[in-house]
Amino acid sequence: MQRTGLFIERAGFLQRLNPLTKVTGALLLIGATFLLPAPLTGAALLGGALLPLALASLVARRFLDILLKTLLPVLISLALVQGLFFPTADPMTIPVGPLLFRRAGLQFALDTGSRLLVVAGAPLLLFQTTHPGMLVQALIQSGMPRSIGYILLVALQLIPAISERAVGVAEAQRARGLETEGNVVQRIRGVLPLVSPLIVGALVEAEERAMAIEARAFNAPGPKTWVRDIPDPPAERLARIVMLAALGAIVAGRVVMVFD
Amino acid sequence: MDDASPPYAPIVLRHVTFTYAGASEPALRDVTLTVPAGQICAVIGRAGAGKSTLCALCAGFVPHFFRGRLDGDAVVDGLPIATHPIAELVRHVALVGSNAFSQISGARFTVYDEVAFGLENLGVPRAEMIERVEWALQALGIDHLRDRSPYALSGGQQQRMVIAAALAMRPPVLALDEPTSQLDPPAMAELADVLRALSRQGITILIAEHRLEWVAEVAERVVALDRGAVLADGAPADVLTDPRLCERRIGWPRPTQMAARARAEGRWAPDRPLPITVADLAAGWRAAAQDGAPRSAAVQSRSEAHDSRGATSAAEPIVSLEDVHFTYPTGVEALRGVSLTVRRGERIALVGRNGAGKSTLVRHLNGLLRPSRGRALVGGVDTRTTTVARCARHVGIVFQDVRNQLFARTVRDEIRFGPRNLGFSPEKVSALTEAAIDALDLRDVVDEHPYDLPPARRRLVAIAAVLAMDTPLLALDEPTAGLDNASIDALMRLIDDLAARRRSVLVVSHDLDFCYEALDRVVLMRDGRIALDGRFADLDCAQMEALTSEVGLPIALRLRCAGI
Amino acid sequence: MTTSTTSQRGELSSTALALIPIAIAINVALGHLVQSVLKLPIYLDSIGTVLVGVLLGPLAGAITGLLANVIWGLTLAPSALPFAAVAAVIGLIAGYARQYGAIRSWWKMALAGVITGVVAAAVSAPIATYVFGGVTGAGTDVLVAMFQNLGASVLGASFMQGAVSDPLDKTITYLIVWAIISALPKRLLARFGIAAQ
Repeated sequence: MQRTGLFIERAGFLQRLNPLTKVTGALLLIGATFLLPAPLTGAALLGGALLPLALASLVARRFLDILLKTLLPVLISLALVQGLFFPTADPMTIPVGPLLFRRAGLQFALDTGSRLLVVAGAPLLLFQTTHPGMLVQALIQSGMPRSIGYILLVALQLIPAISERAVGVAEAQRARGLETEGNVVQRIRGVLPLVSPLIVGALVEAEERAMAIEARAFNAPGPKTWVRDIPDPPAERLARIVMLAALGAIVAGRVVMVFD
Repeated sequence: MDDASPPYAPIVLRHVTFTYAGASEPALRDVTLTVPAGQICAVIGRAGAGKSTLCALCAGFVPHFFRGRLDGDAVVDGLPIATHPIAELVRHVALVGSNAFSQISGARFTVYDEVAFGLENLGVPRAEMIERVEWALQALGIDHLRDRSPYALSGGQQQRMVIAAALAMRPPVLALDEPTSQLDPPAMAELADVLRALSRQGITILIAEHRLEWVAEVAERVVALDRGAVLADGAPADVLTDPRLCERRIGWPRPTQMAARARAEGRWAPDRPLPITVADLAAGWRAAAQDGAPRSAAVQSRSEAHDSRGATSAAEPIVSLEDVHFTYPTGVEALRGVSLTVRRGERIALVGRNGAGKSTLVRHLNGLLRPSRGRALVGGVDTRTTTVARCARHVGIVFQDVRNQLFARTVRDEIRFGPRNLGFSPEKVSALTEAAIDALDLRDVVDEHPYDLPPARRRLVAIAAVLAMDTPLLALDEPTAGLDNASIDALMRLIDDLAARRRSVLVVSHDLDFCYEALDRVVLMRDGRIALDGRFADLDCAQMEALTSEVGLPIALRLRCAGI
Repeated sequence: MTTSTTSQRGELSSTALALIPIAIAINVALGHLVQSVLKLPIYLDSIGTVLVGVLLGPLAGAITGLLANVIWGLTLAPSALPFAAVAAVIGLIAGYARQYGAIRSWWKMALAGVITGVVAAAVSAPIATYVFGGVTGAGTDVLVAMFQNLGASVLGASFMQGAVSDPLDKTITYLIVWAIISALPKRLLARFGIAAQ
């Protein structure tokens, strides 16, 4: 199998679940982190839900790897920018070496950071354990427009091909004497010859692809069928109802608190 | 082919004229055509003659997708095209274009699911869907690829998958638009076998095609179009040898051309019909030999005729590769010690299977890639110490995918881009541009947009754009892909002309006949090394054997090797 | 006679369905191309979105932006997901720019770029603030720190940072799209309902 985004093919716990169950779970986790008090909720959900699930699904290392790689710069920046420059009336400061951190700023960074780990971690785990084709099929079967699903899947598979073509364009134009290694003016002149062929070629290809869409009767009227079946046992349906109820309860609780 | 014996005809066109919206001339003029069930009918003609339009019409894409004015009756599998939408017509006729890649739906991750995609959209029940998908995979011989990603297949495999996906909808008619333009010879042979098998199952097949040798092998009937009108229609042996094909620059298949030349020289019996296949050509030659006709010179090619003025080893080198090794960052060792010198006035064919290292080698000719080990000298300068833009003064490369190159508003602007990059004076840029326009017969379209031209002429624009850079060496990657015979003739004249002016040409191609006719030195690559480097004229039978096992032989050498 | 460019039953046309995924892939591929080959500090990561908006209108533009970020989340960094709303707004504005005829002259396109940049900054500021605490982990965070140090709130600083950097990038993007579209072949322009100039 070729590149399928973040998906890792393993026979773990989450991989066996219906995609909708996982989507519902991710929504519950994200909702909870925003509505319940930080940083405790974030830490609890990361340590108590996401990490154990990643372990049970045999993707824990890749999960942590990508989570940290994408979030570490943000977290560091968060601690520095908000720790040092957070607008606050609170005069409390914590000196670290020559730097004077503001206590309220660090608190803000900690709250945001803990939330961020769950907000990014839940979808990451979802995507790592769900084949995009199955995810889209499940979403379409539960009401998402087919065209949205089509666009997502095609784009996902086209990225490697278009990136390869971008390299081909650069080669073809450099072979025609386009200076890409010169001074800034020369390089700015190179933008159009590099960008244009890719886009014009893409538009021409879009026309051919539109023909293919018509040829495969994508817009044919009438009910659709699926060659693959996605199992959805009653236990999972029940689990989804429970999770949605829990999310509802948290929202209701927050609303009551606000009006109290 | 008249209506005297009326078996069921899935394609019936009567006095069809079609003009694209915004066009001043019709693309099809008063076309009348009836194709009986199970026939393989090929449509030939020059670039822009209306072949693709005819295919698109039979599948309803004209006029439903490409709009314009349609007159006359077009009925496919009993349905009038004009009044039925494409979504309905797909159950009756399938259209497959030349570029398989862009016809992959892309919405599915395996070949199996890709073939099922259209059936899902039609709402076919699962049990029937599975049965049809299995049938289509078997029929196209791609059952073993069912779990592969559609994007991980070779061009030939992708094309068969796209045909399978179309046939799974069970249309009785299949329309193929230039199916061989992206295929190498083995894939072309496989496609021919598949089409014959489908025709035996009763599927009617319409093919628009430039490669007349392939048409001669596969078609049961040939329709020649000229500027949108039917020029000739009948059995392949009649149509493909029709003198009008040469008058209108559609050309003849190679065996026909060779026999005609032989006939003019008295080496082919005047009463013997001209052959269209290699087998008939060989048979005719054997008969002529028995009759005591002069032998040996029989298969003399252009390249042998020009042999005397080939480059000598004393001519100055343009590029020399010295024991070049190259390993990609992925760890693939693409070149393992290649030494090659290209001198002024040489005409070189670089051949080999896919993955043998040809593309990697070409990218060393102008510094796009630099050797991991060894040296590459371009114009005497080590590519490691210079830029690609500077190498471009010595070596011009036209890559296979011309879409990566074209971007200007007019043909003339496109051609001007290269010489301007090289910093020539405005007068020189203009002179080179105009010369390149004439060299490739583009004078009538200089102010057109390159993308408004048919694909064959688009490729000539790409070649002209690099030709205008006036480099000592011109490298062409698969230059004949998708070209009609008139364009190939223009290309051959260009190569002759360049050689006469001591400029060199290096062609990477699977089209061995073209290589043999236009070039004289052949370099065969195998597993990142040069397996053979010699002149076509001097090849012995062992060397021909080596060539045969890797890429095949040109027709002329096949005959020579067979002792004819 | 049916046509493929008009939508049927409110669904996207086949042309839109074919173009949008390619535009999304271009968003990803081009940013990389311009930065790695030309080594210029411009992102152009919404060029496909603006292209679709200008060619096919607000709805298609918004969908392109939205799904581009979903794809970004699916393939590289799920942290890009919250900004999908910003990308959708960029596509939406590009679509309206088409409706106001911006494609007819370069300065209208440049103006559309500036407007898009400012609106994008305004939409992304609350997301950046409430989800990311005002920072992105990129070099522009220095600007956020500077504005906060000058007395701005987290939200205010985040907006000002965007308002400084986004309009320039979006203006360049619009101008490139203008240059490309005005050099397109007649046949393609006709397919997207734009008369040749």
